[in-house]
Amino acid sequence: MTLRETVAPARGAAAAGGIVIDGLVKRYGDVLAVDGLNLAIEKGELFALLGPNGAGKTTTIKVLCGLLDPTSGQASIGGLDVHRQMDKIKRVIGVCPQESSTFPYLTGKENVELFGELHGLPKATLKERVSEIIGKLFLEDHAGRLAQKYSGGLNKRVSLAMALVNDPDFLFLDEPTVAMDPQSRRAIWEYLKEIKARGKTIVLTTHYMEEAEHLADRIGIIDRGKLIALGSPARLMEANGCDNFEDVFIKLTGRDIRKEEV
Amino acid sequence: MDANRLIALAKKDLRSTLRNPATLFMVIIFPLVLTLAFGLAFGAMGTGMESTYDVAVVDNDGTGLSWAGDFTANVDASDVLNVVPYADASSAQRDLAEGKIDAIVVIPANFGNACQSFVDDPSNPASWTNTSLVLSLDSGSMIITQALPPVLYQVLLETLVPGATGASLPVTLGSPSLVSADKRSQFDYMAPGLYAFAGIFLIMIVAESFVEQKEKGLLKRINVTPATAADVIGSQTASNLVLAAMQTGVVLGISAAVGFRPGVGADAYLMVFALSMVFSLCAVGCGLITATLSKNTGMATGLSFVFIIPLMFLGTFVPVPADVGRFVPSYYFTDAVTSLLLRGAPVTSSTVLFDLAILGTISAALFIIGTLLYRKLGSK
Ligand SMILES: Nc1ncnc2c1ncn2[C@@H]1O[C@H](COP(=O)(O)OP(=O)(O)O)[C@@H](O)[C@H]1O
Ligand SMILES: [Mg+2]
Repeated sequence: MTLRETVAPARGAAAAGGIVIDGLVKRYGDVLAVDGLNLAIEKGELFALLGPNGAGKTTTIKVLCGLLDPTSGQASIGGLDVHRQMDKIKRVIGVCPQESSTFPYLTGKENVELFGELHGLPKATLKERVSEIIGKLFLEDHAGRLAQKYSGGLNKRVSLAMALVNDPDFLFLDEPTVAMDPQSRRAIWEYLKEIKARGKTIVLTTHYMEEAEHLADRIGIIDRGKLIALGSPARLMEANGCDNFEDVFIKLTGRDIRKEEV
Repeated sequence: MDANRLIALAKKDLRSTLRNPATLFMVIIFPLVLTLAFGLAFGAMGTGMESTYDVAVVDNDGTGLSWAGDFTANVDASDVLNVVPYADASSAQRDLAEGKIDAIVVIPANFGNACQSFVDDPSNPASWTNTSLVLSLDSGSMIITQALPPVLYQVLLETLVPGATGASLPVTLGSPSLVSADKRSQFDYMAPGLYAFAGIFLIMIVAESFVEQKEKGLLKRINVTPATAADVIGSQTASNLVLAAMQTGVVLGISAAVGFRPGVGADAYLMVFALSMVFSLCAVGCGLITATLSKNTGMATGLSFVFIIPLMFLGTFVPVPADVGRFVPSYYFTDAVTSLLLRGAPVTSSTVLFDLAILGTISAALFIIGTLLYRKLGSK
């Protein structure tokens, strides 16, 4: 199999309710952050977006959830256009941003409840969802404390809980397990697998290769705003003649340490 | 705008403000301490605990005898009374009405003769020249109205018959006229301004809150939910209405505790609450304008003083010529509260309604400008 084959997006398959990114370009002044990205993510897929720092992962996610307008190109989620139909998209997405942002003077539980309320969950459902998520992410001991006092990893877990509370059809997780201990990371992996089993679509970025390898149906590697590889972890390893995924990543993106970090 | 989302966000805003020690201090503790400090420093709390009373003595004695002087000196010698000589009764009356003195004793023209006639023949009332001291008393002071006449009688007796415990005298105490004194302290004139003073700092709270949420990416998080910009601004407004009501309650309660009790009806107090709600819209507007122009929270804090300083110095308890004050909304707020609480103006009086109309117009304008600016530039 050639590299060219692994890059080609499966456009037809994703059109039925998945995520389609078509010729996406995003410039910040002189910086070309996303450079004509084409990608199709199928409904129910867990897709990992990998790439060195500054590759354009966060920018791509921000465009998909309506936080940035693209310079050119289009994207759609569940058949809804991100430019024109964001109001509808907002009801079915959950976003865990790269900088874990929680309201410092709310408790963990109040932070999660707030996002459930913003999504208009009925009281009973809200209560159920909040206690399920707090349980799944092992937050019981901390949910009553102000987020201000949380460690980085704990803050990230609450931030993730806030993205999950509305049981979104499409989940965007930008480095969701950064700063977490292995126990928390495993718990999150298990929960994400459960969510995927319920037919939800998940897009996650990560710098942990074993995380991508363990969770993802398919992995897309982007560098300098361009998609440079696409396929299941096994196929990408096979195609590049590597027996672990980190070698694939280094082989494709090089050994230089990237300066860009926002 | 969606009511449930608005309530959820307003709850978040209120919790964030009241749980953060820095903002809690600004919104509640600072007005509380300031009102308490001003109340104690300039207030009327002392009046109930006065230990000496100022008695104006108007000496009309025309006899040239020393009795009037002796009597006055003996009054002054008493531990609790302090004589303040007045040349005429009318200026004494005015000061009594303003609460500067506690009582007036007018010594009649024939006082010397009456005293002398008694001393010359104490046992023959038929030979006495009779007269009486004219008294005016502060009706608001229990001690003065109850105790001053007997004390004056004792001093008179001591002057005429040293060592005596009781005797009938040619000089009697006329039945006192009671004057209700207006015991206004400096604090009373400051109190209305304190309501505005507290509310002004909401500008900083609003500005900091928006910029901090922007900096931390929290507004973006809200933006990827179905919540709209109208929900966000609406909830800030709602939470600031609640904060304004809390501040008004605090200033009202503390100033009452330190002696500012204007004794006006419940409708006047309700109007004060309503005015502070309207004024808080103005604070939200100024806060939004500040937030739009600020790159970080430090800048928001600094920039909010562009609004805070003029509102504070031209429209609260700092005395300024009214012509200057007319340019700031807090002036109308303070003026309306002063009319209601100090001048006893009815809530429907033209002064109060005029102030409310102007305050409402300025607040609405600032609120609309703030909202439009923020929606155009601030949320990016
Ligand atoms: N707000 C911004 N202004 C200017 N440049 C930006 C901004 N955000 C990101 N960039 C640049 O865009 C490129 C892609 O960044 P990003 O999407 O954050 O990468 P990744 O998430 O893959 O690390 C980087 O070169 C980064 O420096
Ligand atoms: Mg990133």
